[in-house]
Amino acid sequence: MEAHADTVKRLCVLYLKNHADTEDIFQTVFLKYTLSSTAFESAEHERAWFIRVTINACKDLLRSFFRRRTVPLEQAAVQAVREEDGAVLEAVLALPEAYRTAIYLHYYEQYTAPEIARLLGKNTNTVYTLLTRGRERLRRALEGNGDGA
Amino acid sequence: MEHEIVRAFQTVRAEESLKADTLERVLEAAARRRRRRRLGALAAACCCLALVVLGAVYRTPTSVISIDVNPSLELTVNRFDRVIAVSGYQEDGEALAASLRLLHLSYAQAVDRVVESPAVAACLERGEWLSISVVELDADQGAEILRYISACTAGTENASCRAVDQASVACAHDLGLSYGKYQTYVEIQAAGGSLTAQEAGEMTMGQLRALLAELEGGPAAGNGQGAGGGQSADSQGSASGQGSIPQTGQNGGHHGQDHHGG
Repeated sequence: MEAHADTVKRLCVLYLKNHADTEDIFQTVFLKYTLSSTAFESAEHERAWFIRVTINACKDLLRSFFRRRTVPLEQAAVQAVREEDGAVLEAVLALPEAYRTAIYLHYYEQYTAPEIARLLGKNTNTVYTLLTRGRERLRRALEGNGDGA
Repeated sequence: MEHEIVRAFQTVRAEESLKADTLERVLEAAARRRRRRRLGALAAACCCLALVVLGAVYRTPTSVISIDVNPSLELTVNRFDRVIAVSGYQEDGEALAASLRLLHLSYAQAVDRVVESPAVAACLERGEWLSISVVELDADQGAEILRYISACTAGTENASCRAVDQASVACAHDLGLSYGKYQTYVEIQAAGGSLTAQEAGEMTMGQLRALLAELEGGPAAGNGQGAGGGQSADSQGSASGQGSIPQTGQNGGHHGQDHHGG
């Protein structure tokens, strides 16, 4: 659990921005891992499995009718992070979902565009576009913050 | 920008409490899964055992119905009233057994099929004698089968049925005879006849019964010689206990009791 707990938590924060949902998905992912019969070929394969399963679980939750109708826009998890980190994280989390996922996987998890494309089931060129536009948006947001300060 | 993003995300970490709660749930789930697997394995083992026991019970014979005209055929019946084995004796018996699909039918259906088969029907048309013997391994079932066969043969003049004690016909198969034919063969020997088992096997039931009647000094039974009429040396016991299983040897030295048709 130690090896992947932070990765799963970061992806949950990236998608959900809600403490209760984050906790649910975090536990769900590790339960799936325990019950899974997947034979991992390497540590890298295992890490990719965690990333893919977490992203899918988050998307499933966001799509769920029940959640859309009942969950308030709680920002507890994000705020807890914001206080510690500040503008950069806030700017990444403010990006549209596709951009922030690509930015996170590329800059933090060090995946290349083709690897991200495989993980997310997208076209490689689409990932390049997402990275380029995400960077531009991020730069503009951070410059805007700097101007305002 | 890359370093700033990495630094920003490094501040996001799974809390120890979250990890501890998750670990607890994961361990619980794993324990539940192990329990379910153990229960599943146990249930599967029980099912297998039940199947084995049921299979063994199904394959255990509880009665044998020996149908003799010439051809001779034996139907082995289990406690579920199903035919689990069919044996033909001599060439014509084997041919008859091979021509009929009797396995796993109820004994009633199987007996009907045999009696209505072209080979047996032709024999009856010629006035041959149809003898059906029930070897009782399970007394209740034997009585039930005998009751059914008695009812079936009630309308046939040249037919008889009887219960036969297994002990008295135990060596029938060693001599290559069906239980029913062996019973008559033993009766002929007891009456002073000098017939070999091979000769008995080649004779029709009508011929054997005629020989027995001759040795006992009674009237000839319905047979291949055209005697017919449904009367035979065994007829004394025919009126009593239709469907009941009489004891061996009660019938004038015979090892069984006949219930005649007609």
